[in-house]
Amino acid sequence: MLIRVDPDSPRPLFEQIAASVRGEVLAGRIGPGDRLPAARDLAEAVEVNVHTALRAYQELRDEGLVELRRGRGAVISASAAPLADLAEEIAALVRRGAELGVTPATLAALIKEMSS
Amino acid sequence: MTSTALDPAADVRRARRALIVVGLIVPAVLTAVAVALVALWMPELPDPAAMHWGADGVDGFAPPAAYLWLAAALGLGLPLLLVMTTLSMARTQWGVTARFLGALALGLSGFSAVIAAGSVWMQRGLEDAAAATNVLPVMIGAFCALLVLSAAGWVLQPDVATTPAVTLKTAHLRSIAAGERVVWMGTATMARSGAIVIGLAGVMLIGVTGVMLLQAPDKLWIPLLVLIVVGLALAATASFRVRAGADGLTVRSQLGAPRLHVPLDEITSVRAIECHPFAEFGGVGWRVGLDGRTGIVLRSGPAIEVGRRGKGPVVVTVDGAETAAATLEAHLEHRGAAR
Repeated sequence: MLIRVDPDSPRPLFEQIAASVRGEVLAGRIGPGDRLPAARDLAEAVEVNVHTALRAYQELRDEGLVELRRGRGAVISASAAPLADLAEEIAALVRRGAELGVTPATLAALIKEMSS
Repeated sequence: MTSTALDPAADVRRARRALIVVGLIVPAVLTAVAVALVALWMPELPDPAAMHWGADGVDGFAPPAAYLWLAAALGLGLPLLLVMTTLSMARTQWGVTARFLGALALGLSGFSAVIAAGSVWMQRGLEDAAAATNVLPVMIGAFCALLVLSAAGWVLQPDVATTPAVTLKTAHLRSIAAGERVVWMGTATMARSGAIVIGLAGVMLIGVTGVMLLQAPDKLWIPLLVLIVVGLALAATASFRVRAGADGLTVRSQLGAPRLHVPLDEITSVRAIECHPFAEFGGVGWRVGLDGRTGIVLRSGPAIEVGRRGKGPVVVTVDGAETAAATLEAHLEHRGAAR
């Protein structure tokens, strides 16, 4: 699992970690049933506070991407499977948006708007 | 050696055929001869016949027919086990280990044939099996058969050089920005088949310990010690955490030790390869190959190979090895750019 964190970015660290995990699922490199590293190991590896790593995992749990189990740690949940299937369409949408000058942030806002 | 580079697949096929002849067909013939001899001499045997010898003569007896079973089961069973394991593990790649196991299969079948036929031969015409005291010539003969046939089995098999590992297509990573932290983390575990084999061996070991508990409680410490040592070794090398980052490559057992660290400064090259532990390292686990590579190789498949300055390369079999290699590659580039 590849984790990229940039402390200079205005984006909170926990969000960057969560985005990395999401990206790995989207790329099909990790999938349902795969265990994520222990929050302590992850925190040590990217030099952040353990609470930051835990918060990232909680964020992913709230999205239904990850299950947190006592003693077993964080495991990618079954509901993460469709994400990899969407990867191509999302990439295509972002590409199309770029052609038309629509930023990914605007796209995200539009998608949120549609579902509400 | 010269012909091997041309068509590795044909060489492996040739080696597999030779293994079957040397390790299965010849042992089957040897076993058939041994069984025939035992059957021929069986009517002349005392009943019960001597089956086991201790320091002061015969200390185990069994009906003569037991020699038939012994000759058949050991003579065929051991080669079958060795050859089947080898054939299933070394599918596309070959190595000295496969050749050695084939030779050993032949040697062991010869050993078993001489033991069975020899023990029966020396007891012919005896009234009481306890009189069969001099088992030494049979033992010497059996060990000679083991050595000579193993050597013959080695020579009769082709010398197929280990095929060089196939390099996998490396994933490419967006280059690392200043201050950015990029880490790849993964877990190296055994394949299910390997875990099953080890589980079975563990059950056998526990069984032996149980039998010893009933039969010879005073010698119980021997299997118990083996059980503890083997258990610890397995627990320590069954699963590893692998990390590739700015500090290089770190491989650490789930128990915490043993561990292996290759600092980024020591790394000369990185690539993802297709690793066949059996052919390249002679088996799975924490190993040192004949070519000087250190392997933490728990299964066949993708592995990361890291060249070290002044030391042999390190190979770690792990899912996602392509990304792990790309991560180290990106860090090497980043460091190079920073200088």
